[in-house]
Amino acid sequence: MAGHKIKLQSSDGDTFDVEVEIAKQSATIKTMLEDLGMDEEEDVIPLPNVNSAILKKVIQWATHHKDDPPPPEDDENREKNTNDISSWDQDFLKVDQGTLFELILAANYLDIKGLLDVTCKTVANMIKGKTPEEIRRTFNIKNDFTPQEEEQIKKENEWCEEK
Amino acid sequence: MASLLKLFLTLEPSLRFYLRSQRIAEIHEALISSLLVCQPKDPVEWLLSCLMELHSLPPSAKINLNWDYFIPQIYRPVDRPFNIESSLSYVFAVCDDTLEPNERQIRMAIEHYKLHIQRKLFSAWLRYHLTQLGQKRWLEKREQAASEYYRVRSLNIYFRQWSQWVTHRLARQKAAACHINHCTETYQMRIILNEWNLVAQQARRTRDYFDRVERGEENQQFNGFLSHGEARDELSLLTREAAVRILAYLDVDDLARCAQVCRNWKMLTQSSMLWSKLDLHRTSDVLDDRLAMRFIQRARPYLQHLNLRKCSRIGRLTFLGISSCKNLQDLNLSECSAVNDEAVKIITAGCHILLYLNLSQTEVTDQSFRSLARNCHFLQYLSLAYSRLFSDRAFLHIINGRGCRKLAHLDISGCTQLTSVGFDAMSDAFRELETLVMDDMSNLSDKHMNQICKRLTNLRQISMWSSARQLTGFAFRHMSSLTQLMTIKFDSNKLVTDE
Repeated sequence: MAGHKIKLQSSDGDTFDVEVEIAKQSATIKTMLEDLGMDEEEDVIPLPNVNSAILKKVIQWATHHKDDPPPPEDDENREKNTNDISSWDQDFLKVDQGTLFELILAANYLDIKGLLDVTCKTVANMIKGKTPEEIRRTFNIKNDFTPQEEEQIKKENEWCEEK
Repeated sequence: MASLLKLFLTLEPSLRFYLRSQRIAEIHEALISSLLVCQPKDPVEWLLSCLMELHSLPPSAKINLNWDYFIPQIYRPVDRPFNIESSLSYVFAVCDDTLEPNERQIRMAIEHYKLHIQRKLFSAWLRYHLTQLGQKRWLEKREQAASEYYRVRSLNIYFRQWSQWVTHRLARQKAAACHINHCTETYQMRIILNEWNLVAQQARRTRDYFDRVERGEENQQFNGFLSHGEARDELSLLTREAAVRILAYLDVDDLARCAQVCRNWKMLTQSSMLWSKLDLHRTSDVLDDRLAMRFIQRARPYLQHLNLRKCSRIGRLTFLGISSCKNLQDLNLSECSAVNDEAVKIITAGCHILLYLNLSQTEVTDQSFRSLARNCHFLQYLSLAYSRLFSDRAFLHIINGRGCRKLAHLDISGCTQLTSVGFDAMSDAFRELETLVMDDMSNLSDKHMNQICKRLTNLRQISMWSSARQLTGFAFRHMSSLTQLMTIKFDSNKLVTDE
C-alpha cells in the first residue's frame, strides 16, 4: 500500500495528492476511507472546512510525523505538561495567531490528535502565567464585563494573585 | 318500861281508856317510886300496906294521888328517882281520847294523802314527761344536725367531684386546644414548606439552566447569541471542544485568570471537562480549607482526579468535602501533614470507587488500614512510601477485611519499620499484586524476599533501588520462581555474583 495516494480537496478547490498512510493520521479521513471504501485513486475527498494554505501546513505536519507512534487514546489521564513540544513543532508553529487557530480548527475537524495536542499546548503556553489584562492584549480580547461583574469575579479569584 | 309501852301501844283503845280512867298509871308510879326510895325488906307486904291505905282513901284523894304519896315524909326526895311519869305519861297521853283521829280527820288525812300521792305522781309524771320531751327534742336536734351534716357532706363531695370534673374538662380542653394549635401550625408549616420547596426547586432549575447556558451546554438554542457574546477573538471563535482542550492544559490559577478575561472565557472555564481533574499541587502555598472547598464544590459532580500533594494547610473540612465526591477515582494526598487516620476514615467512607490512593509521607497508622479494608473494594494502586507510623499489624486488618483485594501496585518505599512479620502479612493480604516498589529499604533481606516470592506469584515488577545491599544469590533464586516477573530494578549490590 505504500505510495498509494488519495486526493484531498480544500475549500477553495485546490487538490493535494497525499499518501494514504499520511492521510490516515486524520481519524476523520480514516473513517471515511474505511466506511465508504474510497480507496480508488481517482476519488477526491472534499474538505470544505479547510482552505489551501492550512491544508498545506497540515499535510506538511502529517508528513513529518508519519512515523510517530499513535498518541495514547486516554484523554482523561493526559498530563498538563506543555513543555514537551519538539523543536521541529515549535518552529513549525511559529506562525501568526490566525493561522495557529485555523490549524486548531482544521486539526479538530480532521481529528488529528497529535496536531491538535501540539497546537493546543502552544496556545496554552501563550496563556500561562499571564494576568487577565495581558491575556486580553495577547489575544486582542474586549473586556465585556460590567464593572460590578468584574469586581465580583476579581473577588472570587483573588487567591491566585496572592502568590 | 319498854315492854309496858309496847303493851299500851298494842292495846285496844277501849282497854287503854279503862287504864286511863282508873288512874292505873299514877298508882303504878307511886308504888314503884316508894319501893325505889324506901327499899323495904319485904316488898310484897310493903305493897299490900300501901294498897290498903289507898283503898281507904276517899275517891277525891284517889284522883290527886302524887308520885310520893306512899313515901314517908322523911324520905321524900326532891327529885323523882326515875322519870317514870314522863314515859308513862307519853303512853297514856297517846292513849288519850283527844288524840284519837275522828272520821273527818281520817277522811281529810286520806284526802290529804291522796292529794299528796297525786302531787307526787303528777310531779313524777311531769318530770318523766319533761325528760321524754327533752330527750325527744334533743334527738330531733341531733337528727336535724345529722341531716344537715349529711347534706353538707354530700354537697361537699358533689362539689369536689364537680370541681375535679371541671378541672379535668379544662385540662382536656386545654390539651385539645394545644393539639389543634399544633395541627394548625404543622399544617401551615407544611404548606409553607411545600411552597418554599416548590420555589426553591424552581430557583434551582433556573439556576441550573443558566449554569448550563453559561457553560455552553445549551448551545443549540443560543448559538451565536449567548454562547459567544461579543467576543470576536480567535479562541472564542474556535469550537467549544477545541477551546476547552486548550484550557485543559492550564492549571487552576491560570484558569482563574482566564475566567477574568471576558464573559466567553469565563463560560469556557466552567466546562465540566476541565473540572474532572483537579491538580491543586501548584497552589499548595495558598490552599486552605475555604479555597479547597470552593474548588471541590465546583468540581464535585465531575471530579475524578484530585491531587493535593504538599497541601499542608488543608484540614478536616476539606476531607469532608472530598468524601462528598462520589466519582473520585484518583486521590493524591502525599506530603499532606494533616492526613491521619481520621482523614482516611472520612474520605474512604464517602469515596467508594477509589482506584488510586497516594498516602506517602503522611501520618497514617494501623487504623487507616482498617478503613481501607472496609471501604475501598476497588483500590488498585496504593502508595505508603515514607509513612512510617504504621506497623506490621496494619496488613492484618487488610487480611481480615474485604477491601483492597484487587490491589495491583504497592509502594512501601522507605517503610523500614516493617519486619518479616509484616512482609508475611503483606504477601498474604495482596495476592493479586503485580508491582511492588521497595526503594530505599536498607533492611531488606533474603528472608523477606523469600516470603514475598512464595505467595505473590503474579508479580511482574519489583523495584529495589538502594535497598538490595544485603541480598544474595538466594534472593534472586527465589525470584526466579516468579514466572511472570519482567522487571527488576536494583543497584549497589556487592553480594550478587555471576550466579
